[in-house]
Amino acid sequence: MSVLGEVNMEFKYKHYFLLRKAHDRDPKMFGFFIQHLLAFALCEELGAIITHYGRTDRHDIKFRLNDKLYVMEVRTTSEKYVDIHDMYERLIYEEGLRRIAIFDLTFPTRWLIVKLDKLYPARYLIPSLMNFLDTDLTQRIDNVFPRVVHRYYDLFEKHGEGYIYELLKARNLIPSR
Amino acid sequence: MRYFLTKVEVEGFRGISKRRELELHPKLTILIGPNSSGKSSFIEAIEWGLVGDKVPREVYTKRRRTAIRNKYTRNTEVKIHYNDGQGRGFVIKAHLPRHREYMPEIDREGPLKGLVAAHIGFKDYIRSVVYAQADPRVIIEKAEHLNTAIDSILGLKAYKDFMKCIEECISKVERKEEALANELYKFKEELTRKYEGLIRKIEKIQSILKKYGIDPSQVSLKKIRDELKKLIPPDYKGDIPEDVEGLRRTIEEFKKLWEITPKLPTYQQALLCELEQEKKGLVNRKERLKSERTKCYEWLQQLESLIKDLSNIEEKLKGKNLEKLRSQLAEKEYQVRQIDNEIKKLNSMIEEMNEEYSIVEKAWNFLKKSKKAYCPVCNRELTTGFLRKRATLEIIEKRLESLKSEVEDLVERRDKLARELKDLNNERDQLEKQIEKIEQLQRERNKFRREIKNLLEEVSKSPRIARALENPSVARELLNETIRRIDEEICNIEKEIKRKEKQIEDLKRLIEESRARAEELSREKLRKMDIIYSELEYILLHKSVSRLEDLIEKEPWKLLEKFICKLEALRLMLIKLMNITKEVHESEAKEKLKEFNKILDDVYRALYEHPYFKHIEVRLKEIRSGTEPNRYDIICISERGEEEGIDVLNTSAQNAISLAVYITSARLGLHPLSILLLDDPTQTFDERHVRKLAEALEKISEDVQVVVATADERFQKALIELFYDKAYIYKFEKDWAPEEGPIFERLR
Repeated sequence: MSVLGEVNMEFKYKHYFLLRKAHDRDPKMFGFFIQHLLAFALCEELGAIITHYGRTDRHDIKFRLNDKLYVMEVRTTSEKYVDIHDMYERLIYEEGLRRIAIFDLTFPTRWLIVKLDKLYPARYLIPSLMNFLDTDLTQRIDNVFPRVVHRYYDLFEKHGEGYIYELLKARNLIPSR
Repeated sequence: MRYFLTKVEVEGFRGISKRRELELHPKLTILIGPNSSGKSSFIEAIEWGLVGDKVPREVYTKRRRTAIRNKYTRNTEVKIHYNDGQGRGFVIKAHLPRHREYMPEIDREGPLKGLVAAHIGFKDYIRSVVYAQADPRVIIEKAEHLNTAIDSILGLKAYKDFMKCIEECISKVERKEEALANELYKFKEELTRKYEGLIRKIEKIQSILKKYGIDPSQVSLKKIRDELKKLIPPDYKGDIPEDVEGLRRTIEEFKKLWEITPKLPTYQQALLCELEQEKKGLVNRKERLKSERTKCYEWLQQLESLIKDLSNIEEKLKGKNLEKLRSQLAEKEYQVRQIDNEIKKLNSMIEEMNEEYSIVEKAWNFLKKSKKAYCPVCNRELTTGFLRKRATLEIIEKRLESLKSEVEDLVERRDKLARELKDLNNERDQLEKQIEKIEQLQRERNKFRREIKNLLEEVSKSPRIARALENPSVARELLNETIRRIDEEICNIEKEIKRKEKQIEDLKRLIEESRARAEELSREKLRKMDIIYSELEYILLHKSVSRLEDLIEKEPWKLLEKFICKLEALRLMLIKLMNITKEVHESEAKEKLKEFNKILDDVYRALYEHPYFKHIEVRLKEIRSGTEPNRYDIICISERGEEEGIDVLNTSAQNAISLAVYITSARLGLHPLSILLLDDPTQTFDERHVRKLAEALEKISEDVQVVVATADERFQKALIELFYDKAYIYKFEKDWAPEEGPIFERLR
């Protein structure tokens, strides 16, 4: 009996610990870091083209994927609830498929890409948002996200969140202002 | 088909002490009389009998209880007889026993049985009807009460209850959702802890393996088994198992065996033990001999001192003959005895002499004094004559002198002898002492001799001992010889011991060398074993991690999440349902209000003539959630269409409005038992309006059974005029005893 195959495998959920470590280090910067990672995942892994990327602007990301235009607001949460009051206001007047990307930091971490069409501004339990999920996009992002985390975590730890943002700009993945 | 009351029986209620009966007309019953003659007690008794006390149970006090009960009777009971319109009669019985604080339940017969449960609005409805009492302004001011009244009149209570139900459902669903989410998060936390712990352990083992220079990716069970085969300890008998648990057990067993192996005893150690024991024996013997030798030395010293003492004694004894001394002593004693006897003799002689002397002295004295004298010596009568007497005296004197000298001699001799005796005694004592000392010395010598004999007997059994006793130098020689012999023996033993020690040292060095070799070997084996063990653990941990990951992959919390989703959907639906119900409720209320307003306006106009505001209308202001009543506004409308609040009107107009509201509610006929109880409704009305009210009652009593009580003489007059033939009119007397109860009689 050989267990070589078992030994060689990577731990699928190990990126949770890396992200948790990053979160504990600086919870404020962590939100931006997650946003950058999402941008990397969208561009490098799924082949999306980002047309708008704001750190402090109206909405967070606008991108084109499979001939569809998405407008997205990114949030991270490690609690049971998420409030979508301000996000609702930001996205409701935008054109395109309006989505809220919620990164749930509880174990095992996951992305929840929520459709805004049926939601109204309120406080929602995280599991209850499954009713409004964009299942296809959520699954695609969830599949590639651990790889992206493992790829960029070391750089983040060494140089901080600003470096990752510069990297995005340097690779021409996001439009320069 | 309408129900109506036929008779009321009251006992022990408020002013009514003894049982009173009041028959009621199916259309109109009028109670007239002055103030405090018992009219209102009957009106209140009917209300109490129909729906119970107006004060709720939670705020029920002793004061209220005494207000209901009459002082002079034990029981409080109201019986209301009613007809169901088909000629059948039934009874409603309300009874407050003396020992009870609150009326338990109204006992209803016939179609009104279980009335409160069946028609929720009935209680409020009846109550609102009954409240058309002395000063209705109070009720209008209490807008809340009016709101409830209108709500119940419009029959919107059911909507209220439904909405309350929905709200409760929503809160329940929310609570459930929250609880489930909590559970889910707890489960996830536990999972995290487990997974984190496993990963940490794996990392630790990986670092250990890297330290040993092993690539963690190259670990396998087959390799472990092959390596384990090389490490089988010499004492192990058995096969190496193939499964992981078995391998782990085997490794632990091997570890124990390898730890023990270098500590096992060898034949060299046995030899060493023997040699050490021999050496020990020799050392013991040497010690014993040494102690013997020191003993001998001690003896020798003793012997020397003894010999010295002995020689001293013997020197002292030399030249001293004991027997000679003894004979001398006897002689001396004899002499002493002789001298002693002599002294005794002399003493007795001296005494005799002294006696004689005293007698002679007496005689002499006598002679001297007396004329005629007798010779004291020869006792002869002396012849008178001085000469003779003188001659005698001389003789006696001579004799006395001789005696004196004799005595003195004797005393001298005795003293001399006594001195001699003393000297002799001293000499004798000295001699005795000398003899004693010599005897002691002889005893000591004997003792020393005995001791020396004992000593020598202990040391050796040579025949020379006998001689040694006589000659101490021989004993000394003997002892010295013994010491010399012991020394020789000790010397031999020491040589032997040295030889043994050398042998032992050699053996020890040999043993240490071999042991160090064995220990190094086992240490090496154990280290290898440790590596294998950590490899095995690595494999095991990997397996458990993969198992846990499989579990996470299956997402066991998904079911719970789905359930929470469903609950959320249910909540949303319920909220939607509530909104829809609200809308329906509003439209229904508005529609019902239209009809209500029509009748209300008619009644108001029949009752009152306002110069400016001819019409009134009730409007829905707000739909409230839960059990709170909806809010209504009463609006006055002028002929020109101007709208104002009710506060603009005067007091009588306000009274008229409140009466109109209640009369309308009674006329709407929402329940088959519709009865209007009016207690002094004409306050603040002038004669014209009193007349109008009386006329309006005629119309009202067609639809509703009415019971009116009034103390107003104008109203009484109008009523008697209008209804003398058509109604029962009871007249109450002014003077009545409180123990007996009110007195009244029926006019018609």
